[in-house]
Amino acid sequence: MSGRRLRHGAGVLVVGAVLLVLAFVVPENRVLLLNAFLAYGALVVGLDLLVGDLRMMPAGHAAFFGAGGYATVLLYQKAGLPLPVAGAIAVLIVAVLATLIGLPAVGRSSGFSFAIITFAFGELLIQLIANVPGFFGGSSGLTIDWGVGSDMPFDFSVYRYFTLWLVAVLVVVMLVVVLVRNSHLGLRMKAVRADENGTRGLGFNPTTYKAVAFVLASTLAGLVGVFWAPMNGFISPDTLGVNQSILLLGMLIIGGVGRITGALVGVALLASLPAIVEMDPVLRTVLVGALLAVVALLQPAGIVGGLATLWDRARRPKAPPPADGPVDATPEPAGVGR
Amino acid sequence: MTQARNGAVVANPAVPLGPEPLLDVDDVSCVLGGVRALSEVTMHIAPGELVGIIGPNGAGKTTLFNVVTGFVPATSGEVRWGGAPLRGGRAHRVARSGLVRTFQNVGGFTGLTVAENLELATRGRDGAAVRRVEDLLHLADVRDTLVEDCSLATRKLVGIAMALVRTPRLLLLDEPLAGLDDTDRDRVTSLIEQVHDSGVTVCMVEHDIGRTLRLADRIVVLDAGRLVATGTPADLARDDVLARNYLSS
Repeated sequence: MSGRRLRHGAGVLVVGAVLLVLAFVVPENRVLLLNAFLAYGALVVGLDLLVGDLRMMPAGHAAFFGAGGYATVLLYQKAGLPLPVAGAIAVLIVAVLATLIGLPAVGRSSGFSFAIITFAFGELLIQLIANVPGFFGGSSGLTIDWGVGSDMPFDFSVYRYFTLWLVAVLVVVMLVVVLVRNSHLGLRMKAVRADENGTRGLGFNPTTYKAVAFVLASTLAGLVGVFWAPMNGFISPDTLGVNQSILLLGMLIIGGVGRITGALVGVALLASLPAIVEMDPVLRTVLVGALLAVVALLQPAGIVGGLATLWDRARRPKAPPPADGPVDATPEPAGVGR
Repeated sequence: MTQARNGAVVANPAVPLGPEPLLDVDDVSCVLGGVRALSEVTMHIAPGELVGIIGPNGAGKTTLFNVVTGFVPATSGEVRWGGAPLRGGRAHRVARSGLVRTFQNVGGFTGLTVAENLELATRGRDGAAVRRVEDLLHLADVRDTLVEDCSLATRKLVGIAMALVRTPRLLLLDEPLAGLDDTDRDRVTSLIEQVHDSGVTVCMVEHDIGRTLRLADRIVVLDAGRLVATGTPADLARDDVLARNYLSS
């Protein structure tokens, strides 16, 4: 497992190096586009800890992204804290929120109920923001000055300066995912995904692993929000909405769950490509819906998942046949029978 | 052979004999979805025994395992493990206490290799035990194969291996021979014998009556959720009714 961890870790660093080069060379009119790719990339790669590793479908992932952004803006502008301090505290706030929401959500529900609870959390935050306009800025949102001064390294624009931070955030998120997936924690999460009762039979409490993944993925989303809000200079309740959450899920499912490359391909297809070709926003929504339907029907593993399956089939060694020949059998469904 | 309070024929009413029982099931009933799956079942397992539980489909054999291992709560009665009551014990806590089970469905978690499944079972702490069990069960050749790519017999062995690497105090095997052909049944039967001979207490639910009678020190017969009889295979075979209804394959 350590060899694979090193290989995947090195892959992340190579991707990070390429993105760092892009941060320097991308034309000024494409910097915001790159920033959007980095932020969505970090969000979707983190979300994959829930969807890919545990088959949990949160319908409120964007709420934690928005919560990180709002907390940073409020702590910086209203409490007067320096931006780095505000950002650090904002990440902690998101972690606490995720724990408070996550423990009951994953402990007492699964599947549909889990999606509903996380959706309700996002809507609750939106209502809170909309109904306390004096503090949260209401439905028109909050503007924020960048808080990073005017002396930029390498004579960068402020947007390009934040590109460096967003590259770092994406690399951190990818490294966390690689470390988790190649650890014993990741092994237990895969086992929970395959058969929850089986993991109980081994002495593991599946709720613990689902809660850990939920808090981790949500906190990583909050971390993205911490950098996104000051970079964007504006944050509104739309950032937290279910539309955003569904878009994140769509990117992941279309690209391919369970693989960092799948998440990044999904983001490139649904976030970057429509912007590059200046696609109408309505048309983009149609594209997401159509691609989701096509992928669900033809290739549920997503684009990269489908390609990887073909590759695996081509190179995986066949299992040695048992001495007395193969046994044909249909496995019984997982779980405890009577 | 005597008649028990609930009508069960008890071939050896003094069971458990000898040392303190490892597992006591006292008057346990379990209602699932309005169906009485277990009805006042009492049984004991002493250290070192190999107990076979037999009975027709729907007899409550797996439900008994589910109650004992904390997957399903008993509606009434008590289960004691090492003398201490397991009241509403949560399955993962029961499993950590050394009461280890396999499931009817084939062994191992899909998406993981055989080696990863064994590593998972030992919590990554006991590489030596993994290698020992791999050798015992002849799994070394398939250690890097995904379990879903293994034959059914191998997957059954993986399930048993995952239980063994955790050094169980009591190993509960749920239909370890189901779905296997005769050759694989002999392989797994011989393995269970080896495991038992190494000092592990074993209780198995099984439909293969012949092999269960050959393996077990004691047989428990369940039918429609009730304990019908318990005793050594020889004792039960002497009762014509029992032999005709439950001991013929």
